[in-house]
Amino acid sequence: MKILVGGFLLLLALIGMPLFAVIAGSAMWNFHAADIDLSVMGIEIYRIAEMPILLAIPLFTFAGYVLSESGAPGRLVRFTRAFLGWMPGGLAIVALAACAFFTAFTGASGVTIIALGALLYPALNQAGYPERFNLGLITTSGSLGILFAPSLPLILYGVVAQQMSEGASISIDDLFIAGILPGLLMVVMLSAYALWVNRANRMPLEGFDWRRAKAALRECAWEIPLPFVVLGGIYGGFFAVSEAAAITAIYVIVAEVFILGEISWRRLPGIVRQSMILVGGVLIILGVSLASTNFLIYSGVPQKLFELIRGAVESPLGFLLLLNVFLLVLGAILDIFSALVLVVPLILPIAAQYGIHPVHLGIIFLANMQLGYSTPPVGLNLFIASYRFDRPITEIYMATLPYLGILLLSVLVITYVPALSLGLL
Amino acid sequence: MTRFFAGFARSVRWLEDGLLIGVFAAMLLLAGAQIVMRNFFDAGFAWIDPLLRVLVLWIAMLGAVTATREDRHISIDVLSRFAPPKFLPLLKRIIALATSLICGLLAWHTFRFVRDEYAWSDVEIAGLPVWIWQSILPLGFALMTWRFLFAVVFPARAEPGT
Repeated sequence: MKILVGGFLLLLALIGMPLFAVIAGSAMWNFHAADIDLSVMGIEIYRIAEMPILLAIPLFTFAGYVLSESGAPGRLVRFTRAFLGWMPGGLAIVALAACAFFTAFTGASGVTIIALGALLYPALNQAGYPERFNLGLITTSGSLGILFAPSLPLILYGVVAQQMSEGASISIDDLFIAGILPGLLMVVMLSAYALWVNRANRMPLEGFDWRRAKAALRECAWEIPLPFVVLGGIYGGFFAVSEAAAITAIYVIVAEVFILGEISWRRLPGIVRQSMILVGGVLIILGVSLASTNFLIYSGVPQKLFELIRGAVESPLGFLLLLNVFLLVLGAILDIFSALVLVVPLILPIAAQYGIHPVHLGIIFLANMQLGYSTPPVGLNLFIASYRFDRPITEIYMATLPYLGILLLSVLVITYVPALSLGLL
Repeated sequence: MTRFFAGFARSVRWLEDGLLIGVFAAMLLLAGAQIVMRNFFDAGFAWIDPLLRVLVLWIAMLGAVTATREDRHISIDVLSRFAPPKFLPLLKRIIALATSLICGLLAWHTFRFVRDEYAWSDVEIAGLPVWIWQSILPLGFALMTWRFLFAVVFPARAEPGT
């Protein structure tokens, strides 16, 4: 009976049942089978209201959506262009840097491809880069930057890990720092690839020009302080992560609505709605997964899983390899948010027994999941790019393949060089 | 009768949107006020922090209700991308039915949870008994149940008049 219900839910999940319902269904079934009163579901979901850090999620997401609706994407492109455009292959690097920055704020929900891709893709084509190269570049860049603060997946990993309270405490602040070098590694490796592909045709976009740089700087005067407010405020000890989120949200409204006037008052409710659909979709999954996770721990699944793996894999290195393979497959099937809330509670205690630092594990997890965004057949970025640029999905598959290779390489480096994640802590 | 239903659906929609935007605005203002109080006057209000936390729950539920209305819940969605289009309405109906069943169960059991809290708990948040704040759980799941049931009947559209 148990297997039957489980299989049925899995089938429903595969044909597209909302994942929160799949998770809630399996949690309720398990509690029922263990003779636990189902009003426990209320207790578990209500735990959403007991985690102060969650406040940061709606506020940062809203700020990201406001930015993407304003003229900020265009200004960001002009800004990076003025400062990086003089390099050979400059525009490709501009695209990577701008996407990474933007995704950190919008949380890789496809907004980057839609808001920035629309500007960068024609510009890259115009500058004479091969079309397939551009298509792949924009598609993979759509999730580049989830390792940078204050990205939503980074915060969510911290939230889930804190719930586990296994040994070493893990703070969101640490995660924000740990993501910097691995994130930069990805940007640098992709940039190097872009330079190498276009080595025959080294086109500096334009010379560096002080006047243009100053104009771009002035134009971005309201957006440039943002990363400093967020990171500086948190690490300077001025405010907590959720306070930084509130300040960012208010700041963005003041700058884009009142000062720059790029978004009218009337559009704000619509932006709230659109961004809160994403937030609601993620948080409801978190809520019901608190219940299912609690059941898993209650029935000792992580420990059993650990003993199972222990039998097959002795060394931490072997475990990491297994983890990489597992996460790559997972990322190709599940979206990053569901994967986080479902799988992190299982692997965190196991990884801890192999001596892997929870912060490092988080960076490994997210880096792998980032690949999943562009992995065929169901990576989200592939569909968004196919839709946005009106190309058959198979063409997008082919175009992103070399980028996937580069990212895979960077994921391996991130996995096997813990110092990259932990060195700055 | 149809006009009555369309009117009713419109009012529900209006209420959901209004609540979502109102709760978000309140959250933003309260969080901002708290920062100002703490940093400039060295004295935050003790009631704001628990209120902010419970408002996040409200945002989660209301956002999920809106996601239901617009068919934008996070899902795996392999088959529906590759299945023949003529099966899609049927698949959507099956999914909607199963999901409405689960949401109905969640609504009922979270309602029992709130009823227990009403009977036994004397915790207050911002001066109101905690069960009032918790009641968004059954309310939200009930709304989702109704939305999914609706999608069983009309799989293509989210609701009439949109």
